[in-house]
Amino acid sequence: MKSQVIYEDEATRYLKIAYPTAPLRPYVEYFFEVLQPATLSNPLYLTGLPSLNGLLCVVLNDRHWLSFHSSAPTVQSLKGSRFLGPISHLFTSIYPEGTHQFLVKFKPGMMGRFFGFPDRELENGQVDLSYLAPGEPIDDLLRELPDFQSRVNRIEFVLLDKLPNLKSDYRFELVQRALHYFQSAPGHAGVSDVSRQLPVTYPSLYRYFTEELGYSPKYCQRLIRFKKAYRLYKLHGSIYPFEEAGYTDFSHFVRETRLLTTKVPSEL
Amino acid sequence: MSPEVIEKILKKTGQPDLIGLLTESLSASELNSLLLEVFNRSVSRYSAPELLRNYQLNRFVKPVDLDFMRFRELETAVLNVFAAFRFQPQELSPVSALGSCSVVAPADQKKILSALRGTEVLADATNALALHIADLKQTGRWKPGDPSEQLRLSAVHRHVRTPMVVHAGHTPHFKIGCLVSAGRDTGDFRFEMQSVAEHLSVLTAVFRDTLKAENLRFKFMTRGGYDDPVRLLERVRDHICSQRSDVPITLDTEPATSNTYYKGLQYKALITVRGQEIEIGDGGFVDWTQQFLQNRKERLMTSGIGVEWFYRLMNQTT
Repeated sequence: MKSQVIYEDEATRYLKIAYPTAPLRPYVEYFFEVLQPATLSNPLYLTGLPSLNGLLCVVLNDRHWLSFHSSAPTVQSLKGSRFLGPISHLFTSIYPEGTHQFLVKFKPGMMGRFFGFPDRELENGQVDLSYLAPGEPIDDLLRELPDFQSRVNRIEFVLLDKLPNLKSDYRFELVQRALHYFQSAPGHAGVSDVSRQLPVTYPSLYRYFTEELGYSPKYCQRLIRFKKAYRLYKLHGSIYPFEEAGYTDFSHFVRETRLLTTKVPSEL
Repeated sequence: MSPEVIEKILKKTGQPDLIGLLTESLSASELNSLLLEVFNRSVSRYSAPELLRNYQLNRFVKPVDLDFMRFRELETAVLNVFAAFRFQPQELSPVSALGSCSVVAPADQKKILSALRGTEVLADATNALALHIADLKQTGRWKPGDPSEQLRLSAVHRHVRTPMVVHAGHTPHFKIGCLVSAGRDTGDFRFEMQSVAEHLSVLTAVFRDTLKAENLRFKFMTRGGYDDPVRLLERVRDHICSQRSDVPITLDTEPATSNTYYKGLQYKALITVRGQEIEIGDGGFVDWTQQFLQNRKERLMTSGIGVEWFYRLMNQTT
C-alpha cells in the first residue's frame, strides 16, 4: 500500500504545524493543517499509527473520506468535522478527492476534558463534532477564516475560554505525570520505574490509567516507546541502535511493530 | 430452448406459424395483452399445493443461502467505497426494459428471464445503468459542466440469469457490484485513461483495502472496435503506472476475435484465495451509449465485481 504516515517534523508543503501558547501547552501537543490534493484515480492514503491522543478534526472542504482499521473488513464513510478518539490499531484513511483538514492534537485524555466526555469512550471511534459539542459551531468558526494562523488563533481563544472550567484531580494528574515520564525518560524506563518515581503502587497506577485513558500503563508505555523508536527508524533506518530506544535489538522493535500495527516497519 | 422442442410445441398447437404470427403480426402491446390473458387463465387453474410444488422445482425463486446480515454489511462496505469515489449508488428496479442486454450487446435473450409489459428480470445492472444514463443525457436532465466531465453511477444488484450453473458456489441469482462512467471522447484517449484509472482505484479500495483480499492484480486485454487497441492499452496502462506503483497491471495484447462484447480494452481483476487465483471483477469499454444516442463520441466504461461470489469464497469452510 502506498499509504503514508505524516510526522510533525516531516515538513511538507501539504502540512502546516503550530505549537500552542504557554497556557495550553499542558493540554495540547500541537495544531496542524493538512491540505493535500488527490484525484479519484490517484487518491490520497494516510495512515494513523496507534495513538493515545484525541484529535479534534475540522474539515475545511466538503468531501467524503474512508477510514478502516488494519484487521477488520469494515469501512466507515465519513464526512464533516469530528472528534477522533485514541486508536489501538493502525488506521488507514483514503481521501478520494484529497483533503483539507485543520486538527488539534490533544495530549492523552485531554480532549474530553475540554468538551465534557471521557476520551476512552471514543476509543477507535469518531463522532460528529456537533454531537458531543452541541451549540459550539467550531467548524463554522474556523472554516470562514482565511488561513492557518487565523484558525490557530481562533481555536486557542476557544480552548482558553474553557480552561477555567477544566476539571482535574490527583488521579488524572498522576496519569499525566506518568505519561510525561514515559515520554521523556530513556527508552528502557519501565512501568515499575514510574511507580517508584511518583510514587504510587502499580495496582493503583493501573486503575488510574484504565479509568482515565482506557489503557493499562504498560500498554501506554509500549506505545510511547514504539512511536519514539519508529520516528528514529524513519530517520536512520535499521542501523539505529534500538537498544537505546528500549528494545533488545532491531528484531525486537520489528516484532513490537507487528504486534501493535500488524505490519513491519517498512510497510508503514 | 432447442429448435426441436419449439417445433414440437408448434406442431402440438396445429399452428406452425404461431411464433411469426405473434411476433410480426401483433404489436408489442397487443402481444403483451394476449400473454397477460394467457397467464391469467393459466394461473387461475393452479391450486395452492401445485404452487408449492412449482416453487420447489423452480431454481430461480429460492432465497439466498447465506448469512443475510453479514452479507449486507459487506454490501454496505462496497457501496460506501463506491459513493466516496463519487460513483453515485442507484437502487435499480428489479426489472429492466426488454432487450436491455441483447439489443446493444452480443448477449443471448434466451439467457435472460424475459417478462411481460416490455420488461425482463435484471440480468446485468451495467446495461440498466447505461439506459438510465442515455435517458438522462437525451432528456437534458444531466449535462456536463465541461466536455470532459463524467457521469459516474454504481449499484449493487441481484442479477438473474437462466443458464444452468456449472460451477460449485455459483447460483441462478447473485449480487454484482457495478460501476459505470459515461463521458464523451475529447481526444488523446483522455476519457479512457481517466475512467479505467478511476475504476481500478475503486476496485483497489474495495478488495485490497476494505475486504483485505490478497494479491489483487489487473490484466488488460485488447478487444476490437478501436483503431489501435494495443496503443490504447499501453496508454491506459502507462497513465495508471505513472500515478500508482501499487496497482499491478499485466497486458495481454493477443487479439481475441471471439470476444466482441467489449470495445478496445477489457480488463479482469484477480485475487488469490487460499492459494488459488480467482477472477473477481471484469470490465471494459462498451458502445451502448453510442448506440442509444446515435453518437460515436459517446464513451462508456463499465465494471462488474462479484460481491456475492467474494462473500462465498471467503466464507467457505474448506
